[in-house]
Amino acid sequence: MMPLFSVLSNLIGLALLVALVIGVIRLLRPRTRSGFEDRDGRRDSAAVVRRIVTYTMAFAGLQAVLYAAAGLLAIGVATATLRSSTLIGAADMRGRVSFYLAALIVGLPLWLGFWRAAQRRTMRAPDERAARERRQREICS
Amino acid sequence: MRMYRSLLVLLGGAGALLAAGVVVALVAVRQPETAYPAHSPQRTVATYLRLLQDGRVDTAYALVAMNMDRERFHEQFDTWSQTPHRVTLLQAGTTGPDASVTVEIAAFSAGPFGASDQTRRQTFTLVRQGGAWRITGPEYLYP
Repeated sequence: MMPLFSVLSNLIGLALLVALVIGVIRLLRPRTRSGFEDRDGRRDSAAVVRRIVTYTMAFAGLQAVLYAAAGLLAIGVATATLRSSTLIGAADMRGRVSFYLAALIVGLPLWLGFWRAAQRRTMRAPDERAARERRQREICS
Repeated sequence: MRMYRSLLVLLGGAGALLAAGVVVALVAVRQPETAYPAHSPQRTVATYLRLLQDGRVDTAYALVAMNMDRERFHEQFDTWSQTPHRVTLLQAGTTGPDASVTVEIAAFSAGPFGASDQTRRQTFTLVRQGGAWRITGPEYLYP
């Protein structure tokens, strides 16, 4: 039961954060032609889905990389400073290092791959630069 | 050309980050645990906690002088080995036949939405019996 509450509270927190970012962007920027629309003002649903997936995955990858880098940095600092006072901790250290290294190994290609895809699409179609999802991700990053 | 250069810089940075991560991991994992002088209170506490971490509760029981029978000791400490712990020495002092060792116990657990780190300070009390230190408390460990 507890893990369910934990997952739900995490999801609610994430949804509130996303809603907050979207709300701030909408408040700050006047209505412009959306990246959802093509030059004639028609909605391009496939492009919308593709763009949302690309930027969401790139953002998730970036978060994983930052989280892992911060964790590994903390381990490095702790290793250097607590060297003379650790009574036991080999198994714990293996667990921590495995977790953060796994996050880095998964997050790096995820972030770079989707970021590169977004960059290529932006180069091909300058309209992409005006896309709301791109601005939201830039703000989040 | 400019785009390729930026891509190379990005890939180089990512590679360097990954390499740094692997180096930190290798250094941290190979770090030896501190060895304290034999027959010191710190050594006794370290041995006791290492035995509990390895699940050797009966052997750890030989190091204690608590008002607790073996069965209750098992109930109290059998589950402690299920989570890996990191124990750091904070303070140690000896007064005649008594000693106290204060440590920080940390337990790390990871789930699908991230990791959590529980930390708590605990003070072990010891008494010298027959030339060796015996642990008299605490009667529980958390986390």
